[in-house]
Amino acid sequence: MLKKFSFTKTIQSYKASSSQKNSSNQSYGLIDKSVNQNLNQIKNILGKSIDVKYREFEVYYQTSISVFICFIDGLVNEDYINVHLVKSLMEPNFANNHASSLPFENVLSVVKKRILTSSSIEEICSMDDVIERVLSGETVIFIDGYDSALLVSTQGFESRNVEQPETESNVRGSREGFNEVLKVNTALVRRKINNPNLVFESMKIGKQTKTNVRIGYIEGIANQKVVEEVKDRLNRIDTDIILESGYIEQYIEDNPYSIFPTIANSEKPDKVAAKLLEGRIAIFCDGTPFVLSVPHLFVETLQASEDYYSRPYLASLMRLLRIFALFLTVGTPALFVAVASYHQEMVPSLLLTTMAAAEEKVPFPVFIEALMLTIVFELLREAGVRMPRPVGSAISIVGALVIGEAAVTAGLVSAPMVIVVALTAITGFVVTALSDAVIIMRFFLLFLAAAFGFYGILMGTLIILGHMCSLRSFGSPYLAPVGPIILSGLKDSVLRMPLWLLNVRPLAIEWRKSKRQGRDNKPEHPKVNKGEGQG
Amino acid sequence: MKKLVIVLFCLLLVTGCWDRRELTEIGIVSALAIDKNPDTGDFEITSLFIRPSAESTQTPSPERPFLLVTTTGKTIIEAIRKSSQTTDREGFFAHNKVIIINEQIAKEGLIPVMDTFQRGKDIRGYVWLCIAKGTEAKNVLQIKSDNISRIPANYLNSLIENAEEEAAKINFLTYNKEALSEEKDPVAGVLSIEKIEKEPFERVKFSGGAVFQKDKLKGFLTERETRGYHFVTGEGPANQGVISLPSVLEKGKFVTIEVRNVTSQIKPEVKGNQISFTIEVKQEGRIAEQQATGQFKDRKEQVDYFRKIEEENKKRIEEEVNLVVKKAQQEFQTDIFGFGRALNKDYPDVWNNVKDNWDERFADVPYTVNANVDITSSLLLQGPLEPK
Repeated sequence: MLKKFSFTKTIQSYKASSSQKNSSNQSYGLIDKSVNQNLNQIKNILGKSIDVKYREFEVYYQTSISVFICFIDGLVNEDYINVHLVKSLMEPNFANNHASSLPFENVLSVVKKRILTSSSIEEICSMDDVIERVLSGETVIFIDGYDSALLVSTQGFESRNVEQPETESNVRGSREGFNEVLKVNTALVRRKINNPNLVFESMKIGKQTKTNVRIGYIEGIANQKVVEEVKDRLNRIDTDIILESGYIEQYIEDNPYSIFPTIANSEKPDKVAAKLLEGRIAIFCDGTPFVLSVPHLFVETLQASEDYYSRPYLASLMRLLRIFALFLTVGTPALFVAVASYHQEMVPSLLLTTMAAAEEKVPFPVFIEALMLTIVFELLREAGVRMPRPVGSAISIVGALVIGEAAVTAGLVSAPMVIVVALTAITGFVVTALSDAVIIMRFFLLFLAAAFGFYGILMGTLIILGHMCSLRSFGSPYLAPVGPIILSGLKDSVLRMPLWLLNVRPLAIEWRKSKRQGRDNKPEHPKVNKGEGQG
Repeated sequence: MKKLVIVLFCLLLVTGCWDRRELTEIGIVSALAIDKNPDTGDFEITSLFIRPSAESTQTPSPERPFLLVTTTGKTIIEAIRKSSQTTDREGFFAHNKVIIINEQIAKEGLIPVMDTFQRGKDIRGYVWLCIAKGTEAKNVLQIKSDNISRIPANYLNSLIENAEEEAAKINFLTYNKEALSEEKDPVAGVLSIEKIEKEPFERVKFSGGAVFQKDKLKGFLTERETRGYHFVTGEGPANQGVISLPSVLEKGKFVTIEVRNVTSQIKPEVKGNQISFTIEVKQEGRIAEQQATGQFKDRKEQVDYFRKIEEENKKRIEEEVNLVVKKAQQEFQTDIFGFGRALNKDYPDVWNNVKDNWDERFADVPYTVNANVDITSSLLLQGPLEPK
């Protein structure tokens, strides 16, 4: 007892000390006028790392002035630094050209205005900023006698190209996907929406990682209150680490205990652009191709960008199929177990005979069988994801063979059960956006079906539905436009009406009437003027 | 919130489906035959269990796909439960297709026998109820007949479902409804065993009807009478079947009408103390076969030909209806057509007066038959063909 107490005490004291350490925001003060002083300070701060590079040299301008630049190896484009910084500064005709025209005091200003041939230069006085910016790939120039430094954007690190996203593929529509570089990602969206109202705001989250995060929205479309709420929640994040947008998602979501995601993510710029244009707000996080968007409604998980690119008939049919697939993937194992162990009278006689025949040589109850196969399938899927690529295909073949053939022949599972789980698996891939919630719901219903039959499935479905109705995402009801019913929104929910009928933006997100197009967009036959006959 | 959670938990945990049975624990019973031992007076129940492994699609075993278990008991349910002494599966009756009842038991009244099926939850309302005529009920299940389905119950089920209008059929629910009401008495299906010359020397036949007074079997209808019965009731399988009529074109040749859409209406008429009925039968038909040869000169001749056939067909309907109504009135004194139901609908007061001795009143109630036949088509050929 005493031992345990002392242990908790140690933890407490440790926590206290660490929080103190975290809260004391280290400050390095302002930049000194002396280059040497600055050099020493920077070496003090960054010196231990070998990837920090210093270059000291002299600039001759009426008299010799010492200058040094500092950057991080690997984060910068060194050719760029050589040509645009070092070479420009050290050119011998530097003094001759400018000696007469400029007063001596303004060396810094001369360097900034006339010498450096870089498009993005900033003058900065705080040493903290300098350290932060250098660590994100910029290059700092200190000039002796000036208490401010010049920061030049020289970022040039290796990054992936803009490629087709692996998680969301499509037949029709843009094939570009986000990559890991923040500014590339925002640029990809900017390319879709050439509009000054598209605003990106920047912030840094994570005390240790200092991750760059940008929120994007369209001024005039997005609800300003939601924008404020997003900023507010982001500002409240107080953590060391933001490595991926998933971290942000978990810190700002409305319902942290729910199995349903209330924040969407996407790898596709066209999808994010469409969401922005509907009044949503995007959160870009440096270092990940997954861009978050809020508010997130349940219907979005059943929508695909292709729905809008293809004609309404096919799109509506696909929507219906996706809803059907959602029900199948959540409910099939549970239904099968309930029917096979409680409600044998519900299946046609011939089917029951076949089911009984298949079940005859299986030693386990149907529920155990279903549980085993579903778990095996999840294992296979996980293995397929984690496996090194070349082995992945082997896994799928082995899996299909083992489960499909061998298990049935060995009498471990029945053939109908294999069909049920295969159906569950296939339909599960139709609604990938919801895959994590689907797995949990599937097991939930499976257990209920095994314990209480159809009654359990009914209760489980009611519980899930009730829970879904209670969810909110940044002020929007999760089940809108179905619950609460929003008539204009229904046009783009279960069915996808023709684009020329979708005149207003989603009300559940905007919270006000906002039109996206006029009323007369329906394509019509050209009007023939009777007076001008066709000859 | 707390209350809601409690309510939800109660909903889940206080109730639920309770009769969990694995597929490997149940024995699917798909037919029942009920006989009575004449010496002891015990019921003999023959249950047809399905043996699923023999029907397996992957590794079917060569055994017979079914199992016949005969047990005896003082009551039906006692006999059924006794099957657990000899059979390794618990009987599961929800997929029962047909109940076959011995003629002798039916004569003594079926409502007491059927009590347990009504009371229990397993047997469904749509089970076919048949009377085994001239044989023990279990023999119908045991027969080695030529059939396509390997399981006798499936074969009997299809046989009854596809029956044409020469055979009456009734399900368990309708039987109970009619036997328990005063307005109409039931007519059940009849299964009999027919001897044939070649293998397997005998086969099951589903034809005719078994007439009940209240719940007691009174007698049987022939095939023609059963067809007449269907003309009067206008229900059942009446839109399947054919009628062969003597050809009007050539002596000794026949024309066969395919019967479609039989509807009928029984109209009661009350004048003072006198109750009478009009039976209006409407039938559509198509010429399905035409033996006579010949050629029509013009359209008019063809239309006239149709009229003549319609007249023949009408006569046939009236003849058969008269046959069966006479038999019901004179031989059985039982209202199997629902005359009482029609009377109750139109003249409830009169019905309340006569319902107590309706069977006697029915026996000599006057009626008229009005038949209306419409030959709508002669299929792909217009008239008769003539070889030249």
